[in-house]
Amino acid sequence: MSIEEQQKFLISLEEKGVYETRLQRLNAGYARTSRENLLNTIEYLKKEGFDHVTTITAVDTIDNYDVVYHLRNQGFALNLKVAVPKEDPKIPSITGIQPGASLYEREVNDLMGIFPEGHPNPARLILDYDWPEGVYPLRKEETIQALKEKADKAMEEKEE
Amino acid sequence: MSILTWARTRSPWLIHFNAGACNACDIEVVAALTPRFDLERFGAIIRGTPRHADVMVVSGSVPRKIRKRLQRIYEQMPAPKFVVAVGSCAISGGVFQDCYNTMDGVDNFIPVDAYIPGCPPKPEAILDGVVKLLKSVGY
Repeated sequence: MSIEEQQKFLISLEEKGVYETRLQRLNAGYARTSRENLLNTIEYLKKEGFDHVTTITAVDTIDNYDVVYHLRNQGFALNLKVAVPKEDPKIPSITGIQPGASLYEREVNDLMGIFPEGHPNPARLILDYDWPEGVYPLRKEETIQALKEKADKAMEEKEE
Repeated sequence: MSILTWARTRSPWLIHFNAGACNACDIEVVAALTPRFDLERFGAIIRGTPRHADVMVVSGSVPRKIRKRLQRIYEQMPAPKFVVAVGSCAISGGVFQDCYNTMDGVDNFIPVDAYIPGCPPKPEAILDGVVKLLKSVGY
């Protein structure tokens, strides 16, 4: 795809409930969508050739959480951002559409506490087995000192 | 020197345990065993199981998740057993010190007999560490 074609594609996305689209440079697209519209968007993008989820990341922006889906169509990478409110940290799981997203969603659930609704197996993935429930290390309100204290306490309780 | 010490210090069989290391220390440990540096001239062989080993060579910052396995493997070794911590991570946590998911070094939960500093330590340093350990046992 040439840079003009990519530009055109991103503008055509705006009809599908995607906003703030922009092409940062050749092969680097950026877009935002709402949580309600996420599944439709992912499905549409898959049909358009974005059939590879490189990874899923999450950002704590103090006001809310941003979940970033890094999608790829050959060389063309698209970062799709979805805002998730802090009071209700849940997001519909895209594993049904993109099976490769399974582990990334579990990782986001582990570290940022954003639960993938409808995931076939939303079990803990990378944290310790003794890690306390409901403590998410990458959230901004956690300090390292508090995290260590909580983790040590949970570890001692499990060993007793 | 008793015959027991003599036998022990001339065949220090090793078990190498990677507790979350980046592989640099592991490569140096393997390099120390090659003919160029030849740790084997002291009778050291890498064994595949802790039940055959006298010395455990640990590298890495020990993530919380690996803690129990390391402890278990240490307990499976027959006494007398020795632990060598290779690299800054195994000594104190290194660059991962104070992370929420690491244990800040091996000596927080199993006794360590020799520390080999470096990031990664040179094969000569590993050789020196093992020889110092053997000397402390009565080589």
